[in-house]
Amino acid sequence: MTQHLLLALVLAAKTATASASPGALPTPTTQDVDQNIVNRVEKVKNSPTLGTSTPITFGIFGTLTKIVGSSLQVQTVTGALRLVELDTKAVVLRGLKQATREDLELGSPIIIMGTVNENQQYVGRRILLSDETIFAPSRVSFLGTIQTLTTKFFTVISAGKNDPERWFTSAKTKYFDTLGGSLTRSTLIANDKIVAIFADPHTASSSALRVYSLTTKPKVAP
Amino acid sequence: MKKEVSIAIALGVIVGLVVMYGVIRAKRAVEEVLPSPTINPSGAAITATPTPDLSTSEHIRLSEPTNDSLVSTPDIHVTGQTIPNSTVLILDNTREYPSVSDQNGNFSVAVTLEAGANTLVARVLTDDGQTYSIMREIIYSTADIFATSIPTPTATPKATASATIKKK
Repeated sequence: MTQHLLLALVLAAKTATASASPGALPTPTTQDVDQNIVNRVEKVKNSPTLGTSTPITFGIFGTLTKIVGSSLQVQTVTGALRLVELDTKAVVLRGLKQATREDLELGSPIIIMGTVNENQQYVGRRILLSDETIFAPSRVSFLGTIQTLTTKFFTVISAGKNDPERWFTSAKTKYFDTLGGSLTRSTLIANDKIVAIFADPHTASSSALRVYSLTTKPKVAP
Repeated sequence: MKKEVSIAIALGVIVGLVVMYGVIRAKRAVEEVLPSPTINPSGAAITATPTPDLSTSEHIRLSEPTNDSLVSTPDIHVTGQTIPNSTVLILDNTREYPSVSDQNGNFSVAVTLEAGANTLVARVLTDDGQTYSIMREIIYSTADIFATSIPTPTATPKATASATIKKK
């Protein structure tokens, strides 16, 4: 069984390398592939499924889409469906208070933690009934180089484009360097390379939430 | 009578031409002040369209963290490989961490998770204007998942946590 698993992993590693899209990423060398295989084999050797007592855990969150007996189907943020079998001793919580399986509602946001059994199935041990706040707000990001600045917008040459665009800012817009250090707006100058973050969806008049200067050298604490 | 009508028509045409000339001049003047912005005048959306987030991408790979992870420490590294020397942006629930991939395309960014559900997006922004993203969903909790009663939770969802970034 173990040998089959190792062989399958070796083949999977080689296949994955061979099917990599040319040009998209650097082509791994033979050494990289060998190291990859060694790493995977070591991982399997150390895997709890081969005898050690530490179980593999999982944590998922999303929208509860189906309840069939003790099985739950959850749709994650990426749209993937996860099937979770509830353990007989599973704890259901709403905030800090104990809830019951009857409190599970279709369409509700949910967090499930548990273990992965020998059949690679998710077994739920702890279910948290949650709310929409578990879904992080979607944001869009743009890369560009500043041409000019006014108090209300940057005129920017966006990456891959020739014509200038306006990226609006507001009093609420925050400015940072690459290490997350705060900057003042006046720090930014023409020819600075920046990444601007906007709420999604956004319109032409939307203001940037945050602007990161890729040019300003971050201040490193001594 | 005929003469008066003709004069009125002629005057109307002249006034129309004068107004049209004025409109054209005004439009040109505005265009000179605002040099060719590419923002959609209808206000519908900015021309650049980000690539939708997916859990897989051929242009960016993540070795860590794996999807559906349950971690008991808030500090993790988002590690992966993408197009060499490109701008990489890691987005967590509330913040972003810009970085740059090295000449081999490798990147590694330290992120501090919030307690509970965390959505991590690794995004590469190329100089030719392309954007590729990959997403990971992770739970950070210190709760004992084997407990059959309710212990006092030490990491509750959506607690405020500071985020840091360190370049490798």
